[in-house]
Amino acid sequence: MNLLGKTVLEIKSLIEKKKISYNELWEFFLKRIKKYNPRLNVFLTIVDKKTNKIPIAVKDNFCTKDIRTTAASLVLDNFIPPYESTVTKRLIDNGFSVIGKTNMDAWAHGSSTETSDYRPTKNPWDLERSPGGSSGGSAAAVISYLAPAAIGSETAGSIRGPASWCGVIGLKPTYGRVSRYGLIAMGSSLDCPGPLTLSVKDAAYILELIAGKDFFDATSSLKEKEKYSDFLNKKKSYILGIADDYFEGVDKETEKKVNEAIEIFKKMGHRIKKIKLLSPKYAISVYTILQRVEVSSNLARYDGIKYGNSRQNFKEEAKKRMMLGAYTISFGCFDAYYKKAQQVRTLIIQDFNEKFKEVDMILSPTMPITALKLGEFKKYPFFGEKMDVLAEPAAVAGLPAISFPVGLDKNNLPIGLQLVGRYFEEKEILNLSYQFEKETEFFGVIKKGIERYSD
Amino acid sequence: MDKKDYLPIIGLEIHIELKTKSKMFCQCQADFFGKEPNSQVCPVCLGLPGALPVPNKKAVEWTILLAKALNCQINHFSKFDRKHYFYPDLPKGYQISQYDQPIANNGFIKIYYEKGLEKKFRIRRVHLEEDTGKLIHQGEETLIDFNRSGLPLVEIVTEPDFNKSEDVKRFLEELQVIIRYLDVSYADMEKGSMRLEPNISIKKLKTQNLKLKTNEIDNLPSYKVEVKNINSFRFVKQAIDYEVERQIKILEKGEMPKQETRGYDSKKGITYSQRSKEEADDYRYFPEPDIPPMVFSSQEIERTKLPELPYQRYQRYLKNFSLRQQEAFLLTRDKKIADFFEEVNNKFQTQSQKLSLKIDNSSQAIANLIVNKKISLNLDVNQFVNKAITLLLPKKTDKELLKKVINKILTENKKAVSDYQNGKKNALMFLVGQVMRELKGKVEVKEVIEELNIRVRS
Amino acid sequence: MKKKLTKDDIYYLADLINVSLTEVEAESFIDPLEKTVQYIENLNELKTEGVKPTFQTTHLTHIFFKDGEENQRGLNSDEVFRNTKNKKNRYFKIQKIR
Repeated sequence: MNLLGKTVLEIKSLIEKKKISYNELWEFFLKRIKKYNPRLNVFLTIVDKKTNKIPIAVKDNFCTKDIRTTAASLVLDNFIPPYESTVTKRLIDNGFSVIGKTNMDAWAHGSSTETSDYRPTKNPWDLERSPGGSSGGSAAAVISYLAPAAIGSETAGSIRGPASWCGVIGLKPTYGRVSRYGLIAMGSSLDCPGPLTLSVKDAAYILELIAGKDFFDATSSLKEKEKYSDFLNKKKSYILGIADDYFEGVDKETEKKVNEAIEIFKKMGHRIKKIKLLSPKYAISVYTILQRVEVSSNLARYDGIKYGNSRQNFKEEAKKRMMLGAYTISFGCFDAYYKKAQQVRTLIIQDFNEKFKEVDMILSPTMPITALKLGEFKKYPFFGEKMDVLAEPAAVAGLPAISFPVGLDKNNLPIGLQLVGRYFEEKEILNLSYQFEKETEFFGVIKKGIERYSD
Repeated sequence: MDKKDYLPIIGLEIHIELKTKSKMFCQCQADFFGKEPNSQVCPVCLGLPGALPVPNKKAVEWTILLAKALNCQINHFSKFDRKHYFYPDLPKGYQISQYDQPIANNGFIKIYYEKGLEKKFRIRRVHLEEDTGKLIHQGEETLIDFNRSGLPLVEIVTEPDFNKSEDVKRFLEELQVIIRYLDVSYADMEKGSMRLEPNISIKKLKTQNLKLKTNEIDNLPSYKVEVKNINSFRFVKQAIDYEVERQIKILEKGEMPKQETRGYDSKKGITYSQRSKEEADDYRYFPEPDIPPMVFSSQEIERTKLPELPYQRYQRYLKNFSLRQQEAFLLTRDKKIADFFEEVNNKFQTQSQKLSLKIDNSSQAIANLIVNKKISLNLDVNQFVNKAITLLLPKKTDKELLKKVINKILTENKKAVSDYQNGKKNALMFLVGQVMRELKGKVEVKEVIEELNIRVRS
Repeated sequence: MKKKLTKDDIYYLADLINVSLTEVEAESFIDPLEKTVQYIENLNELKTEGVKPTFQTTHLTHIFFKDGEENQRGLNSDEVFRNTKNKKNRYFKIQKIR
């Protein structure tokens, strides 16, 4: 039985039909990890224990009980959480088991996984390139098939970005849709746990398991979660909004592939409408301020007394972010920066709400370019905020979004397209993504990616 | 320089530990008395990575209740904020507190003095926050216990309306009684469930302006000294008086007292410098992103019904039971005792009617019995009432027996008799005492004195 | 909020967030922090008078737990202390602070 490339739901079916045993399943993945992890540096911790559950890779900022959790920082180098995050608990209660903790930008500060204290993860498509970040390890794990699916987290682009650069599906749910309890906090008002998968069905399935009210997270939504999988097959037509601002500065090949995808949507019966959104540059400023302030505060607990190592282990990026965060709410700066940012946030939300009266979803490239070479990021002062420019507005507003592959560029690097939906309309964006998947098979991108790692 | 030229300006910051079952932001047990250190902790109150706070509803309700009892305006919109500073007993590196939108503002407590004088002390704000862990200093080490971390604390801040340490003490006493009436906290200074930090400064005045109240004075002094570690009611007056003296001495030298935090040393009776506070601390407050704001409807605020408060009860006792001020005040200092008084008094009235007993000012008499501890308060209501009846009933004197006993005593105490006849008034009371003892108190003192008087004079 | 960041400012901020910086680090932070501050000034291009700030995108309010609810998350001694060497008997232990 060749397991290579089988989705979670396919594996589930094989297990149920007794075509494969859990033992074989784990042997298969553990062998692959042993072989490929040294060169890809996907996992920081490998759980070398077979279980009667389906293996899943989890980003190393989720507290997994009794399994080392580092947030890719030496501050937590030997931290073993005594409790389980809600996301991983729900997965464990529903037939999954953690096979390993994936590499990330330290504290999720970054868009390339290069700020990890444990060296970067390599992009499986080209080992000299970044897989994106901060959930780089999770995306790489899936496309190199070291796990059939992975959990990542997104503050602004950290799921969608790596999904785009690694050629997989990445879903960022609405803020508050999935509990943050146990997720090492980065931007408290922005963080969203979400799945990275090989198929849209898998993404819907995993979302169903992890979404829903959690009494341990006061910001988790009271709205009932929905039957996302059931909704996939509905025949729905949508109006898709395109904003020119979001195509500015985008690489030519990326633009081409995204436009081709737009044509396909048209052929499928969906309508395209031009819209004018607030320039993403404001979202960058809002995000920069809010995130730095929250980061600065959230990292204050690491004093090395109750757990972890001394604060001297924070590296340059963490220090810079904490300092900017402290700056914008000290010196009497609160009104000028923090309050102003929250007000502009309101404007951004109002802007989206207005546009969502005319369109059902907003479509754009996920990233302005394909995977950068490792080290190239140093050119940018905000260490990648500009890479996330297309992701930030939706993140700041808390809207749900999904990224899936729409082709490869001339360097054989994946290009991603993203859909941003209304609050709590994950089922709509999943539906449209599923329609596109059925129509195009994502142009074989995922298949090609996995085949690069067939033994 | 005359001390009369100096006016102490004192404001209070009081923390009250609520006696909820759970902590403020997690379900750990709040009662940590006698528990092993670090045994009542969880990821939330220990500040583990990824942990999140969820507020305790009862703590919020009780804060509203307390604020109402303090005549405050309850804000319809309120939220929590993060207050940042680094200290080993603060697990998250920030305390979840309230900054610009606290639960309540603008209240007061009135203190009533003799001869109808009353003073109003204003309360600026009442807010809710979490407590820190406890530090124990042992030689070259400091030990930390997080059992207390995350307990709900209500912070009450007054306006600088106090000019006398005596007023501060009375205010705290009244506050303590109110809190215990509401049963939201033990409010015990020795055990730390009520904590006081006065802010003290001194204003130099021209003597004629001393009649002005604080809120009519424009300029408050440019500095203030915070005094910590006053952990008993006994020390409140002492600590404040000492600090006031200390500051006056500095001003008399023509210098300015430093703006700082000082600790109170109860053994030496002094305050000592702890921390200089030249500028305000930069706590970098911002709204707590992990906790949605609270919105209180008018109905919700109305629904919080106050029980009868100490001063109302005191007035009721004056009016309905015709008690003297002293006993009315003393009885209402402790709700349990006041409750007991009313139960007992009620029963007593009922019993008296049944037995057709006539006792004047019976409520006052019962009050006296309780206040003077003439009967144990450990008895149940019936037992108490029975004892009271015995004690208060006018005694039917057996005249024959009385005469017999008096004869006996007079015979046995000839010296006392002659002493009295020679002018020693005390001798009579001695004889009265002897008679009472012999008769085991079953006679009215008045009658004994009357009879004795007749007999010894003859 | 226009003021040039000085090295003293950098040290003050480092102190606020409780990290120590070398001279070289402090020097190296001035420029990137300045640049970031300059960039975020673009928010002043938008009019925000009378606009209510959004602190929470969820629009949730009034979320509480019931006092006395069963505690499902209590930690035992091993769990409390397993991640630190700074312990003595059942306390966390550090060098004496003033």
